[in-house]
Amino acid sequence: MAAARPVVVVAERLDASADMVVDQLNQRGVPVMRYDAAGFPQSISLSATHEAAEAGWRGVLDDGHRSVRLEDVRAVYYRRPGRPVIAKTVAGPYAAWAQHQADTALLNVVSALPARWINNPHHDRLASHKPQQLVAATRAGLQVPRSIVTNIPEEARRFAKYVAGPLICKPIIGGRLDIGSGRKLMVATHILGPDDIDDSLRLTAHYIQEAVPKQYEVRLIVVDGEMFAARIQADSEKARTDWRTDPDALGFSITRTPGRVAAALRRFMASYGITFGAFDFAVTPDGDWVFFECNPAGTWAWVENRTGLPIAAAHADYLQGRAT
Amino acid sequence: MTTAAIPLAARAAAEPPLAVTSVQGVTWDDEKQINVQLDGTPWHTTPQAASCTDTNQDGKGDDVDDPYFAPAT
Repeated sequence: MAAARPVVVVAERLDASADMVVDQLNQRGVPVMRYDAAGFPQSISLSATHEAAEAGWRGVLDDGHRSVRLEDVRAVYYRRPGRPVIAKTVAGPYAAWAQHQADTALLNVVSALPARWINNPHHDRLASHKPQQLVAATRAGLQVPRSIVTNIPEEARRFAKYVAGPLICKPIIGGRLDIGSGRKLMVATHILGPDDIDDSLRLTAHYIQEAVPKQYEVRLIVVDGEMFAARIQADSEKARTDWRTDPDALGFSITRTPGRVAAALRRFMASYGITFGAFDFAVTPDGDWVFFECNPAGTWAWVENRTGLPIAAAHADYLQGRAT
Repeated sequence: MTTAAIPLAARAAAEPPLAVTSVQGVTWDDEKQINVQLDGTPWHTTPQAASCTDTNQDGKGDDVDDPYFAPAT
């Protein structure tokens, strides 16, 4: 019976966004199986078969408390689960090999299911990188900052001269810097003066952009074409440069997404085949929305928590499906 | 290590702000498949850290080592 078809939620256990979505599905009576891939193969078992001439995997995924038949799955909410953990009894190199086998098997059997997805991890992967995002965003009709990726100091200085205004520097990909003492460090977006550019830029790729003047910033969550926009008002210089660095200096409210921006975002998401995206925008003093980046599995629990925007319900709407 | 050996962008490295969402007393409800507080109310209804650094508990946050990297994709 269609109404009994389960939704599978794949996430770490301590994930507020996944909790919100599961809570919504529970309230609607939609059967859910939630698991973290870190439980495979020790506490989760998988048996999947494929026939010679019939497309599609069939079988059972079981976590010891509940199970789903793969062919019954109606939708999957896939949100950065852990990686499979292999039993400690398996020796080092065999454990690494076994983890790769387990990871590949579970992820790719599940991602081959003909279900509704938020988001298929293969699409997430493609959609997650900033240089490609700038191209896709511009093609979709969004305004982006003038940018350079380089390891040549002279080119960076030429870019600075071309921009003829303030610059920022940011990592091209997220990642902590472990210098071996205390907590791992974060490289946030920071102001870069033309005189700051030196030969140390040659040591790796650098991502430099014009600093966009900000009236405020927006964390915009898109779910199945619906826009949920939170205005972030920064009240410190640090927060105005990178709002993540000064959480006590932030104010939140709901704002409206301009129709032109919403239409462009739908084109952007269609180009990647993703249903969900957490976008960062600056809104200039003239009211222009400038795209910074998309996090295809970005955080949003705090957006709903602080604004009341019904983001979890939108997830549940999509995962549940409209005709069950 | 000399200054010249540190890439320009990495000189701005600093500890991320400590904006931890409280998980004290939070337990897993296996029936509901969500995290709950001691009184049974869902954990997600408590204030969540407004951050996408690794100091919040909304999953891994956006700014971790390539959150989309999985060898299997």
